[in-house]
Amino acid sequence: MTALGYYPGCSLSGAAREYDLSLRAVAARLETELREIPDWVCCGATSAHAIDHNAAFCLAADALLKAHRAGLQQVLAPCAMCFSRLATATQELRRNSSLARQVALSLGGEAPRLAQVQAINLLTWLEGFPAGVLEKHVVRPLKGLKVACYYGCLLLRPPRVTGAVQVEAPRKMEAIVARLGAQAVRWSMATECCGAGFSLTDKTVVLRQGRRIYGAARAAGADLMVLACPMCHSNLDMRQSEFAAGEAPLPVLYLTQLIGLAWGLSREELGLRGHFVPVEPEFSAALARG
Amino acid sequence: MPTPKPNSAALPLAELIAQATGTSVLHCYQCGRCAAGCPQNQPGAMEISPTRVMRLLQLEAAFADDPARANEFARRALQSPTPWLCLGCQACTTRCPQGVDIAGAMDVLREQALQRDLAAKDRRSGDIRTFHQQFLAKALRRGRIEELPLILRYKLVRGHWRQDAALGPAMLRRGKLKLKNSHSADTRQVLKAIDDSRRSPRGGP
Amino acid sequence: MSKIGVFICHCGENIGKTVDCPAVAAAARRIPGVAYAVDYRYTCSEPGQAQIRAAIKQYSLTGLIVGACSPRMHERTFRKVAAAAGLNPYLCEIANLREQCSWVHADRSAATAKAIAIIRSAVARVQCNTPLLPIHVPLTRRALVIGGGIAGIQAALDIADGGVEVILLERASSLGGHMAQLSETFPTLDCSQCILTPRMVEAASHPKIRLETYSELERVDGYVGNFQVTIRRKARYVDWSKCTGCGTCWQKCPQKKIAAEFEEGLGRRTAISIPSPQAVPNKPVIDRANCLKFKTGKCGICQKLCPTQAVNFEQKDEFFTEAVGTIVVATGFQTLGKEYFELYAGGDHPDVITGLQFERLASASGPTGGEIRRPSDGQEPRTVVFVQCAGSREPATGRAYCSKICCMYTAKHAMLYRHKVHGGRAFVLCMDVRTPGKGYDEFYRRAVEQDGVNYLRSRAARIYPENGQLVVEAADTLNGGERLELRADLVVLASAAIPQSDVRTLAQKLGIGYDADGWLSEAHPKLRPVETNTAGIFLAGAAQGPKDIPDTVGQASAAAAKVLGLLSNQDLQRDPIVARVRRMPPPEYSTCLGCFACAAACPYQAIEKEEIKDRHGEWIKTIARVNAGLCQGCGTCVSVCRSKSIDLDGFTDDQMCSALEALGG
Repeated sequence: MTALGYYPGCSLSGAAREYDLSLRAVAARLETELREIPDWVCCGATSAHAIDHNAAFCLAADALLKAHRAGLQQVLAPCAMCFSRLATATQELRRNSSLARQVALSLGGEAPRLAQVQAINLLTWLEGFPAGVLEKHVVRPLKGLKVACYYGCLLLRPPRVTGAVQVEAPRKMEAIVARLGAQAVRWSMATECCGAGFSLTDKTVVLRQGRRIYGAARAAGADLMVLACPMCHSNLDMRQSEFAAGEAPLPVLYLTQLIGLAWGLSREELGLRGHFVPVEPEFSAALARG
Repeated sequence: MPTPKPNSAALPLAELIAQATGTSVLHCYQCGRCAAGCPQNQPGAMEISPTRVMRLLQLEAAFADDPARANEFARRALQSPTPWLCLGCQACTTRCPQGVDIAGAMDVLREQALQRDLAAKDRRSGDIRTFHQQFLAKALRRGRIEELPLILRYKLVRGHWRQDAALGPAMLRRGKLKLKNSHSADTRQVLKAIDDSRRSPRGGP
Repeated sequence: MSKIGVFICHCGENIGKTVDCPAVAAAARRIPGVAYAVDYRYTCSEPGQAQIRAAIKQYSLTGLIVGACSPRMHERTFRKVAAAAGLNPYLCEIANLREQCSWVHADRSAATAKAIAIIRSAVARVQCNTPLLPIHVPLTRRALVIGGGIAGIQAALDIADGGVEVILLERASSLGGHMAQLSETFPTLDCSQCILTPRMVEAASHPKIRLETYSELERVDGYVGNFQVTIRRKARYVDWSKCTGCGTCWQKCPQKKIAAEFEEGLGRRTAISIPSPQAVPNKPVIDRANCLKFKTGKCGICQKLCPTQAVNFEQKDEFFTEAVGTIVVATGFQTLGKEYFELYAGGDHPDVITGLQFERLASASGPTGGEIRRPSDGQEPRTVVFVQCAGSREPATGRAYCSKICCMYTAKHAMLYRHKVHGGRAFVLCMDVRTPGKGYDEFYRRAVEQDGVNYLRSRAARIYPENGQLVVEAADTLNGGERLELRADLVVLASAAIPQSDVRTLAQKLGIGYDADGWLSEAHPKLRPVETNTAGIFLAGAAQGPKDIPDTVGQASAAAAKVLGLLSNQDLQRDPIVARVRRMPPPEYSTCLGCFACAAACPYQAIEKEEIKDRHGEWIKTIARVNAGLCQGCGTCVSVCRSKSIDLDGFTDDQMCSALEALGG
């Protein structure tokens, strides 16, 4: 068993339960022990950095400190927003801005030590498994399945925070999907913003962006979409009946759920019932077509 | 004796942005790439494009020795709904040929607009502002966010009761909302750190 | 007793305002060994010089000091004055009273005291000076031009017309470079090939030019006037002495689908090929990586059909060495390929092309015969978006510079498109339009005003395909940054001009400098724009920085003038400021121990081994010897010599120590 720090964040304990479930199921088969950061506090998400730089930094630094105290040097933050907040804090600690230095001290740590804690996202974690590891668990090859890999914003941007190399035409998720036997489609909206946290405050934005993303995935011939962000999922799954009313449903899965399907994990283990756009019968039908 | 640092309200916004992001809006050469790729820079959303916001900040700095004019440019940037409409998608920051952290600048503008009581007054900006404030307050109070109480409180304050009325039950059925607050985390350490950072002047010991 | 003359220059107000020049002259008169001292308003003026000449004769001066500006400025001037009056020029020294005194001080009395100290030091130094004679270095009256584009062709023709033999080296099989690929040229819209081809033919047939195409520079030895260059003639697998260029081989070669470099990948070529019908020389080479004979051992059709039996699959690279006196570097540039631009449809969309690809589309000899057809489906594009500054002026991705040529060629492209496609719409996305040059701005305005090209002041954000078109995200910054989405059938990127990928290797072979971006460095950005810091090596064309054709040709002719100027001498005279290994009478011969620490330290490989033998030829010892032709007088060897056996003429230990001691007193 390999131990890995785990920062689930609020979404994975709430609206994105299925992401947490499927991630844990996948991790167990990859012999990775997810060690939750003790008494972790919310990263503050968009709202903190939007209006309060100090609070945003303190919240993220608190998580890094708690990870450090628990002896966790690498922390998996499956939510793209959480990942972005933690990685941004690390970036600021490395830049050693006066705020970062001072907050680190005030939290009872030192900037260089806190900056050693590395937050990683789902893609970085998965691509770390050498060839053959993801593949060997496949019991139901996804041959013929056409998948639109959707990155959204914060898995990649800005690259000086995420460390991503290919930001505008990324291929990381495509590579993972290919390892499951599926075919990743080339499409044009993989990095377009889904409307983020505006679902509640200005729904028109989410519907407009969702429409563009849905339309491009459909035009590219995708059977389903995979992603790795609870916010994107809620916007593209929950709102789909509004921005694509009366049109063919496009199931939206967490990448961990697609992996689980290829590995033959049960629907319950993967939390597939939590979706607004049903995964079945689309998924099986697409496989049959392929 | 060291000269006391001027309070942040007196510093030009460009300076505050440089402190927060490590990049300078004065480097902006108005190429318009941020405006071209911004998903919110379109009719019905932003009226002042990010490129133009950068220009206003440059003008504030350019007229630093004429406080009345400088303040006027700063006021236009701060009162604009643009920062509130920014989705934080980081496309502008990622693509800026001059390396300016434009999204980071929007963070500073929102924060300063609140501090100076200049935040945009339109309904939509107000909705977004209220949401951010409630979200942050809850995160700092309880340490964890749960969707249902957050949504209900937001709707209570802003009065958007009818919007998405059917979604609640649908989410409950799928286990995506919980009726009771069940999670919390100790935030005392964070609150103390925030408090410390506010009390000592920016710039450190 | 020495008789030294001291001349204190006011340099107008430059020195005179801060330094009390008459007081300095008066103080100089009291220094032992000084026979004459005077101050004057402009010593470099003709009356000032006459004053020096008269004093040298009148007082029989044995040394001369001019207290004035820097030696870099006027040492040469005053040494000529000394020589004209019969004094060995190396007995004249400059005391820098301007840069090292008046310009950097404000207090007049302190500056005056410092000036007096500087003069005292110079007097002590010049008393140790000895007469030196210029060094004569033989000269090979022959030039090498590296690069067979328009820069190299022009330089070679000008040098050859001056009567000097030239070797013109080109790594492609044909002359022509980028200019051969262009359609029309700005601002006159004359056909590029029509004006270039005659020059190519002229170069190839000039009796003084020896063409070495499909060849590369392997190594360079020697120094100005005496370079030995080793050239690698790459295996062509065709004996060009037999080949008549009849074309049978490339017509019959079965490998017909290779992306043609000359067509920027838009056209196809065979495995045995010439780059274009206008190639000079008009002789093919075999591309080994794609040739069936080399890949499978089968085929050999070209060999069977060649009427002159010129095809030879056994041919090997050949190496040969040539002596030349000077070298012109005209290796040109390249442009960023579209794969660099991930933001623009992932960098691999067929209908996003570079400016150079558009040249091939617009060229009558190109893959579409000059019709504008988009690569994906051969359709005529109804809307074309031209994206300027693609990769240029973008410090965030590593290039802060302007590529200089794109504004003009984009205006030309848009204009050509509008001429060729009736009713087609052309949009140019630009930041600034930079068109300095004769007739240039008029040309750009003509594109706007007469040819109806739409200029939008915007840098493109993302470009992505949708419904068979390309969506270009733009914003109009002249209208507050209003977002505009353009739907284009073809997108043309004015991709940045960048240095050749192997330019650093080349520069290291030649011992010349390059800047942080990789452009070759000129000796002075204004006053020595075609010289490098290495004597005898000159620059022409875009290898030194992005340039259009007129600038390139102008610089090439300038480099040729420099070459001809250098080679017009019988031999080369050099300042005798070189290191010298001290010699003494037998039996010691020299204090040099032969450790050759100097040889390891010398940046110019100027230290040789000298075997001292007696009159019977018996070896006695091996000591260091300085090759005066290579030595640049830097003095590094002097500082590393543990037995103090090397000294630097003109800067001897005696001179330096005396000067320092005088300062201390």
